[in-house]
Amino acid sequence: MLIRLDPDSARPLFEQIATSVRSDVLAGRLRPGDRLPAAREVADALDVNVHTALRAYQELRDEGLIDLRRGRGAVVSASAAPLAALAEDIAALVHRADDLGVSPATLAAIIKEMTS
Amino acid sequence: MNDRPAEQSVTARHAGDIRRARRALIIVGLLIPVVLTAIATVLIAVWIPELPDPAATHWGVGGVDGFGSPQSYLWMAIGLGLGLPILMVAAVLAMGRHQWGGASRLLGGMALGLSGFSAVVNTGSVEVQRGLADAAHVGPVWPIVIGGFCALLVLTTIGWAVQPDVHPTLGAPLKPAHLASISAGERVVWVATASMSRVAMLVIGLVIVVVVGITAVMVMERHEAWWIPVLTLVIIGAAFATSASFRVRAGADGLSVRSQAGFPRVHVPLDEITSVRAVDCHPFGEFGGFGWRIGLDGRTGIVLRTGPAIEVERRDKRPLVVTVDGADVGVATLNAYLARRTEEGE
Repeated sequence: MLIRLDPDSARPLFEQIATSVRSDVLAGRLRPGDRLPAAREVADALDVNVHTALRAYQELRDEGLIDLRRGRGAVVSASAAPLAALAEDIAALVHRADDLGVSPATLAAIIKEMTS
Repeated sequence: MNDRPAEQSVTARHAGDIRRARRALIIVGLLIPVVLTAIATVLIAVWIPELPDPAATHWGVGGVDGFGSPQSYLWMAIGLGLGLPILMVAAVLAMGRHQWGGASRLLGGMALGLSGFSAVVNTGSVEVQRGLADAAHVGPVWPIVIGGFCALLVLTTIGWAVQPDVHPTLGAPLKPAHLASISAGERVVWVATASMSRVAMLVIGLVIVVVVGITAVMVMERHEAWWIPVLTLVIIGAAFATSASFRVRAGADGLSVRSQAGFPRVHVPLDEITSVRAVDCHPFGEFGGFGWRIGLDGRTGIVLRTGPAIEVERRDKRPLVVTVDGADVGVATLNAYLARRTEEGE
C-alpha cells in the first residue's frame, strides 16, 4: 500500500490518506480481501496522529471500500471489486496503447481532455 | 537489439543445466538408494530364518535393551533406506524447478548417504545375530554404527561430487514501477506484508499436527524421552511465530522489515542505501531454503517465497533481499527518496 501525504496541501490529511488508499485499489496494488496495516502503523509511518489515520479508515468504510472488523483490522471489502476490475482495464489499455506506440503520458493527456 | 538473443541463450543454457542436475539427482538420490535398499532387503530376508525370535532391535549404553520381531528389520531397512531418500528427492525436485544450488546438491548426496547408513546398520545388526539362540547374548553394536556413519560420510561425499555444480543465476531484474518525484515537504510511505506461500503454511501445519500427536502419545505413556518432541514443538513453534510473516516498510527513513512477532527486525536507513532494485528471487536456489538466511554470496535474505523481491545494496554491509508482493512499488518509493537526497545534496 502506497500513501502520499503533503502537509502543505490545503486538503486535510485524513482525506489525503483516504485518496491514497482509493488509488491503491485503482492501481491494482490492493485487492478485495487484502488487509490494510493497522491505523497505528500508518500513523507511525507517516508521522501523523493516530486519529487522523483512523478517520481516513472510517471515511473509506463509510463509502464501502473497506470493512473494519474488531480483531481483524481493516480489510478491502468485496464491493471494491468493480474498482479493482477497472484497474485491470486500465492496465490492459496502457498495454494496448504501448503496443501501438502510444505512451502512457499521451494516453493520460487524452483522458484529461475528455474530462474537461 | 543484440542483447535479447544473448539473454535467451543464457536462459536456455541454464534450463539445460537444471535438467542435467535434476537427472543426476534422481540417479544419485533415488535409483542408487533403490539398489542399495534392495540388496539390504534381500540379505536380511535370507538371514531372518537364522535369527533368534525375538531379535535384538535396540542397544542402550549397557548393551541390548530392546527386542522385537526379526521381520521388523525388513520394514526398518525399507522405511529408512528408501522412505527418507524419496521424501528428500521429491522435496528438492518440487522446489528446484527453475533454480538450482548447493542445497539441492547436498540433499541429493545426503539421500544417498542415509540409504547407505540404513543398509549398513540394518544388515549389520541382523548379521551379528545369525545363529544365536538368545538375542541377549549378542555383542556390542558400536562397530556397526561406526560403519554406518562411515558409509553416510563417504556416500554423501561421492553423491555430492558426482552431481553437476549448477549455480543459481542472479535474480532477473523486474520491470521498475514509476513513482512521481517527491516534493520537499511531502511524505510517501509504502507498507506491505511479506508472508509464506500457502503450500509452505500447509506443510508446516501438518508437521506441527504430527509432532503434537507424537508428544501427546509419549506424555500419556510416560515415555522417558517425552521431552524430545516437546522441545521440537517449542523450536518449530518459535521459528514459525518469528518468521511466518513480516511487515515491510519503505519510506523517508529507508527500508525496515519487522517480524509480526516483533522480533527479528532489520532497518536499513536511507543513508546506508547505495542502490535498490526489484528482482525475481528463487530462495531455494539462491539461499538454500526459506526464512531468514545468509546466502553463499554473503547476501542476507528474508525470503519466504519465490517471486518478486526488493534487493538493497548497503554502504558498509552485504546486500539485503526481501521477498514481498509489490516489490516494484517499494523499490520505486526508495528510489524516489534516493533521487530527492541527490537533488538536496547538489
